Amino acid sequence: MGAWTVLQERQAMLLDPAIRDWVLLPIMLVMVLVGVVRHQVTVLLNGPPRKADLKSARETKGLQRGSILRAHGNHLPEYAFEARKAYLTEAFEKGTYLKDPKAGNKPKGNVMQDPAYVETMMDGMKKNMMNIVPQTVIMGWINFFFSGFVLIKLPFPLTIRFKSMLQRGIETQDMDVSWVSSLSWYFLNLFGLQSVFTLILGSGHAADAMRDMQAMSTMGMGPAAGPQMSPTGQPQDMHKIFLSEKENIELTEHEWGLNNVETRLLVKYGKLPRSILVDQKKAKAAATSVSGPSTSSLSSSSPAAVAAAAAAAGGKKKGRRQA
Amino acid sequence: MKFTHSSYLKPLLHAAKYPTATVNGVFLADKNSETIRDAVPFFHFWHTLTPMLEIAMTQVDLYCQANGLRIVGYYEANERVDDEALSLVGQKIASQILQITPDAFAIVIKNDNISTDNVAFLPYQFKEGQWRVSKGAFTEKNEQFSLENPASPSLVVKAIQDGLSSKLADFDNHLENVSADWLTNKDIA
Amino acid sequence: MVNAAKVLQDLRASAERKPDVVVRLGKPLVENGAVKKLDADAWLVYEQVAIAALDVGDDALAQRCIQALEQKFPGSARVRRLHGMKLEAEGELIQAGEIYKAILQEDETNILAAKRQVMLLRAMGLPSDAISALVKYLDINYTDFEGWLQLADLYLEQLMYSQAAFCMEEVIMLQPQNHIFHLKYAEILYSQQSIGLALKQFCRVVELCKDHVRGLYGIKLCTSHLLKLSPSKDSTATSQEDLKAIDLLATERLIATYNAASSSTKSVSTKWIENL
Repeated sequence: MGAWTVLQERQAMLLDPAIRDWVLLPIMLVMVLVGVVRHQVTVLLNGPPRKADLKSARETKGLQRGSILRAHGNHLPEYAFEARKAYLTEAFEKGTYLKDPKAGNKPKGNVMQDPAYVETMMDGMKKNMMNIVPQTVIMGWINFFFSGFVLIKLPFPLTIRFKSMLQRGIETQDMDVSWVSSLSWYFLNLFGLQSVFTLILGSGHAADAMRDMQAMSTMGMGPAAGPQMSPTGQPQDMHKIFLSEKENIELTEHEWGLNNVETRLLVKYGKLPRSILVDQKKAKAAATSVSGPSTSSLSSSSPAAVAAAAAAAGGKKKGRRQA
Repeated sequence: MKFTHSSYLKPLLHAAKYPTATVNGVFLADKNSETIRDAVPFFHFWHTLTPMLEIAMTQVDLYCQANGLRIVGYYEANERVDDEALSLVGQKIASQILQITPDAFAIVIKNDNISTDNVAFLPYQFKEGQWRVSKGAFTEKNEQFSLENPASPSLVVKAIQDGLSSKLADFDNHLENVSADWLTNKDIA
Repeated sequence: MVNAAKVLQDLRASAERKPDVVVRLGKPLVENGAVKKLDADAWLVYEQVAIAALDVGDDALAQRCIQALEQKFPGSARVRRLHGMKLEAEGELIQAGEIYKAILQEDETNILAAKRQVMLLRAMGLPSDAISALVKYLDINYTDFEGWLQLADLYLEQLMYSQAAFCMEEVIMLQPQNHIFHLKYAEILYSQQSIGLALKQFCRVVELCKDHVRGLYGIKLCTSHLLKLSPSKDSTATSQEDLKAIDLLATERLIATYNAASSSTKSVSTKWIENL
């Protein structure tokens, strides 16, 4: 008890009200104003949205088709699944969904000659500049004039781990963690003004600081409709992506979700004991484990593996019947 | 074929209740007469699929047996306002009824002609191997199709304006809430 | 006024089609100018009210909304589409078609215009043209399950059940948790005479939505057919014991539902259920 009051007294530091009037509030005000201005400038710069082109839309949706079949194919009866699987593997192999089906395997020319690519790059650059420049300027301004300022005291105690977050720019070890430095105040604002902007500018505004972070981490990335790009900034070979998706589809096993729906329904209404479902599962697992090792010892894409998978599927059925 | 007021009223209320969907149903007549007693509304979700139709038909059949009635006709109101053709499904259903009742007919509701002085029914009859529009129906001298109560059209317009259609229940409604009385629709008659 | 705006916003978010509600709430907003106080949302409300007004046949209100939008966004494709819909409502189908065509020439990815074009073909009574246009649209906008539903309906009107079943399979993959789609698929399978598959699908409906009357009726109908046939040799088909158990279950649940609801048609329905 005594130690606690001593600690509290030691931290009884008085802040000049002028700091509030001339540092705390101005930083916040400037950040709000900059956010609003940036929103307006972005709206001006953006102009009409770039028109997406039909073929690239088809390309992405085609790829989605594969992943949807893999994720939800089990809702379909066997024949429906197999028909789609056969169709999609063939279409992906041939590149039916590619923007330019004939270009297929040819290597890409110089990407800088692709106007769509250059335009996306420029777009990304413009947006990045809009995001980074104002924030850098404000940070520089605060660092230059107010570095080392303590601005507020939080009304609640915090653990020592928050020190690096709340007292950036102040190199004292003893100060209580609830004091907030000027630079940290800037960061708190950067992330905290989000809802204030929503209030002023409505939802979907362009003053959002979180988007800066996203923009920084995905430098040069265009809008979703633009050409697909790898992390290195080069447009990817879509045909390769399609081929790997094709392989994924081929490896997908079909386990019809309605195989034992009658049993599940009877269990749901309490006509059969719940344990019957567990038994069925066990029988299935036993059937798979018999042929399991042989599957794993072979390379996944060889015909032998497919045969083994088929054997496993056959085993499963038998297991079910026993159950 | 003489339509009683309730057999003229129910199909039109059904069409008015679901203006954006195709609706259908059947007509019931007394066992040994040409007077059409009543209409039973069937569907508004989808009218092209057979399982619920099969159930509705057999249940109506049971109802008829218990009350001395018979199924004599089929009606539908198309989704499109100006579409007065009997749909493929409609032809199929009407042909089914024809196998039991030789004088069966089908009615397509004239969606844009529900008024006080016109009869909004367009009757079809099976002639020469296909369903054809029966000409001159509901005119003064026509024996084949007539209304029992000449005031029916104006009464129906008033009923629709009064919002009576919301009280009508069809088989689709019944399947959602089994206390809905789709067979007799007592609230309306 | 705030409440009306909130309800309209909720309706926009849920994409429910309740034109009567929208017009009832939106008409006063548009007519006394209160809508302008909603700032950016105002234009969405105008669009929403315009479409609802066309739905219920209030052409004057629709015209007023569309005019307001035209003044704010001259030449916008979205507003021109509304104009096309108004022409459609007035019966000027060919002119409406011209508008959609022009929009699509400028921007071939305009989904709204492409969809309207399909519906226009349907309204003109050209189902096969509507089908081919919709197939072309779905080849690109694969994930639009409403499009697949529409295509299924178009096929059903032509009694092309297997094509419709294909469309419903796509819908189920895109929206696997909605029991209504499973139900429709089940009924299509039954119409196609694949009663064994239909039974499983009906079971799925009841599994997703307990005591679903339509699903229970479907089960009852399928089991009554299947029990009359000799047992199937297919290993994936429902076993004879399961059939009997499911049949009993459906009967029990249906009768319980009728008893609970004190239905006036109970005698007929019960007779049907017990005699099948």
